[in-house]
Amino acid sequence: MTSYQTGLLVILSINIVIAYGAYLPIAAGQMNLGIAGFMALGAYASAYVANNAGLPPIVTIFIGAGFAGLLALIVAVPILRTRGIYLALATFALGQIVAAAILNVELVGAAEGYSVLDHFGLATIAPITIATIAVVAYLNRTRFGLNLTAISQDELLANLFGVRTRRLQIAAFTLGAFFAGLGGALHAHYYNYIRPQDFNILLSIYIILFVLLGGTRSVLGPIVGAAIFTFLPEIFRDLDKKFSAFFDQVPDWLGQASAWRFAIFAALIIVFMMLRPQGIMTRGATRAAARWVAWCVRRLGFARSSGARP
Amino acid sequence: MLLEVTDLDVFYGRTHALKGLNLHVERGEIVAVLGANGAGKSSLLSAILGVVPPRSGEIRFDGVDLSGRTTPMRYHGGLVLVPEGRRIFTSLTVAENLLLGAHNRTDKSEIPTELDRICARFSNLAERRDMPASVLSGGEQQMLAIGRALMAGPDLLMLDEPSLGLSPLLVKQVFRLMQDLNREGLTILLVEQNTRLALKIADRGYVLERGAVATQGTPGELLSDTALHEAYLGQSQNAGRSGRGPARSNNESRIEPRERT
Repeated sequence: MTSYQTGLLVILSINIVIAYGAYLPIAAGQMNLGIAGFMALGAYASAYVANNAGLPPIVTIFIGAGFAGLLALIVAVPILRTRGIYLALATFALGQIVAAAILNVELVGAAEGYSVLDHFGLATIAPITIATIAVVAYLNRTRFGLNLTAISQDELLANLFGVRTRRLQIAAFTLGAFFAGLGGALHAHYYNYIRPQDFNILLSIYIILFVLLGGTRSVLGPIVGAAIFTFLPEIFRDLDKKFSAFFDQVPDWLGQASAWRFAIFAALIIVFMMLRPQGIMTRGATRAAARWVAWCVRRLGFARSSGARP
Repeated sequence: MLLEVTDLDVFYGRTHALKGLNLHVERGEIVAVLGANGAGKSSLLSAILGVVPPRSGEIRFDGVDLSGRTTPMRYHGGLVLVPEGRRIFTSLTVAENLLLGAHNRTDKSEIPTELDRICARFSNLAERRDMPASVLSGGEQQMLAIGRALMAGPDLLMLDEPSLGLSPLLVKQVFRLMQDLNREGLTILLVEQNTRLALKIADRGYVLERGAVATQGTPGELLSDTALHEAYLGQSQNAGRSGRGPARSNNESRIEPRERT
């Protein structure tokens, strides 16, 4: 694997973890636009502990994630009193407050940014991502997952059937912030340098898009969404070379063709949201994918056993 | 007395939705709550379930004052609703919808048994157990909504306009089902606009008017009440005649009136 490919896989792994940070609240019917803020909390907290406390790096990232989760739990009670667009705005404001606060804290470098001494590579980050996927997949299979779906569809009715909706929404919000913080901590330990402006609103919106594009009803949704957002712009990067005959036709006043890849990407998102508003991975699609994997495994197993026969 | 509502006042902002309402349900009864749109039928259910806090008055369930109890607590106490318009979870499967109904069961081993019982009662649902609930027809959705409520093993089953939007044939099925459940010992509070049909299966009825009880009594008493006749039954008779008259009377006649001793 080239270092470029490894780098992409690391970014994908981190994006998947962060995507679950947005997925859990969305599964409970909440739009959290403050994901980047919770990432920043996890990133800075883990970086500070790693640089100063002398703990094993793997412990520090969970301290960072826990810090983000704890803060989410504290603000969840007042913030989850708001609904819909107001909740989105409140969480947006929260993200801004976090970034602005960090910008003023000299302890972690303020506007100059903050260096992280420990470094994580793919070998450390990928297992954490897999563990995260496993945890969310497990939660999805329990009553917790079922109740979240019920809340997101009909909050009053879920309440009428004994679901303690507020408690569950707080849990989903907090757990989401924990994963966002975890992703932020991984980000800090991969890039080894963090700045407050890395965790801006645009990042929050991208993370929400991971989930909406991938699918909000299936554990696979955030993975698929994160993969598309990680790989597609990279594929487009080569596109103007591959189709140089076409892109050379682009008149000069439009600028460089390669700079248009984000515009093309954004246009594709709009088209996609129109064609499949429920996201790529619906529950049906997930079941079909599971059947396909099972079929492949069976075939492989069959081929192997028949091949072993004398 | 299973349910006792005393001098209940409910406001929505400035609107006085319930004005000193009194009502009670005995164990094993079917009680019908009748009245026109906006008479306060749904407000009554909302107050009983704790969705709307009453301004004053008292609601007692099984002798216990319900004030201060949240909606989930009331559900756990045995007050279960079949909501108006079914409101099933279309993004979940049929089985998951039923499972959500059994949220209150602490003994999880009861759930499969109960699920089988419900599926035995509703064969249509059994066939579609693992399908998304969105594929169900209107009638099947109503059965699912009732099945979901039954999964909780309710002490008092409340139905809000179960006949709404169903064909006469399906309405008949739903009312038959209520009769069967009641014979098995279930207490039912039925909110209906289809006055004649509701009074066929009910033990007692209350007629609400502008947030208060206008008249109450046995179906016999209510049906002979001339004022009620003009106000409600007259209306529904006319509606029946102008609309699907013959079909409806045909179906209704097949539901046997309750035997009274």
